[in-house]
Amino acid sequence: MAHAFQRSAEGLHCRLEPVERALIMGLVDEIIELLDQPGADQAASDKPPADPLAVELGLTDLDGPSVERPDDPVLARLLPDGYPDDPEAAAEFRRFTDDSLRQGKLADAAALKIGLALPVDNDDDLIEVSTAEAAQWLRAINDVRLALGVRLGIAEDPDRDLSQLDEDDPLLGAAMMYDFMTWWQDSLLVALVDGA
Amino acid sequence: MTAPFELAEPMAAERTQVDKPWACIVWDDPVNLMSYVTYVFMTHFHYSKEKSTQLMMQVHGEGKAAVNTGTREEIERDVTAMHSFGLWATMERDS
Repeated sequence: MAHAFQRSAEGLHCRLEPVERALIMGLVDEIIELLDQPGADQAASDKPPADPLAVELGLTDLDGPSVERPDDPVLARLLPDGYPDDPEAAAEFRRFTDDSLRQGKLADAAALKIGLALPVDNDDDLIEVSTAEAAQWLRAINDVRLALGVRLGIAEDPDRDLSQLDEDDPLLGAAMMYDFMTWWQDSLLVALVDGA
Repeated sequence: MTAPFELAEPMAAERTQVDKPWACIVWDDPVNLMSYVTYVFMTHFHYSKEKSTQLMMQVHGEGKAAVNTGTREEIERDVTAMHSFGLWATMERDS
């Protein structure tokens, strides 16, 4: 059974069973798969190739490809618009921030995956993280919760009682993982902030 | 990441309009934990726990809060940082 995060001299630690670690890593992999598709490159493939002289002079960013708002609802939540009432400014903002935002989220996800990938002979299921890396873990866990929240329709109906889902409801697994990730993130926050 | 734009003395309202025409708005979101939102304000803006909690409660209670003001470049950095944390944030011209 999972044990909440605790603070020690070396940093923070918790316990997760192999099946719990595997489930979390599966969700993190889904986030990585979604984010690891540069929007700029996709848009660029539909356009004529850049002027070779401009490429050589490093001027392509000045008139770089536009980046569309993602159609996927999970991606749209992870990479939201910066300017709600100004499509032109929103597109410009996205063009300059989309790639670095994706790369940052991918780095957070990778840090969490590395931390969860314990050797198989780890008998006590101990997961350790430094206080510095805990910031990346919190962001990666939050991205997983945001993705599950979109799938579960929590934004449309925040008061929906997920504990009342039928046994054969296809969302049951997502609802259980959402509750688990909420508990795990809160446990890390409590140990990190209140234990300081 | 950026440091908070703090001033030793309050500026005249007129000058504030000129120097800090943009605001970073954080919107309420049913997924983000209240404790996490407070943590983000403390971490990114280096606000005190009290101020961060107060802003989080404003987001929660009123649906949104202006969490920082500054130049367009400064606030674009804040909004991008909020998105990196998974908070729902937008730019708004401070009026």
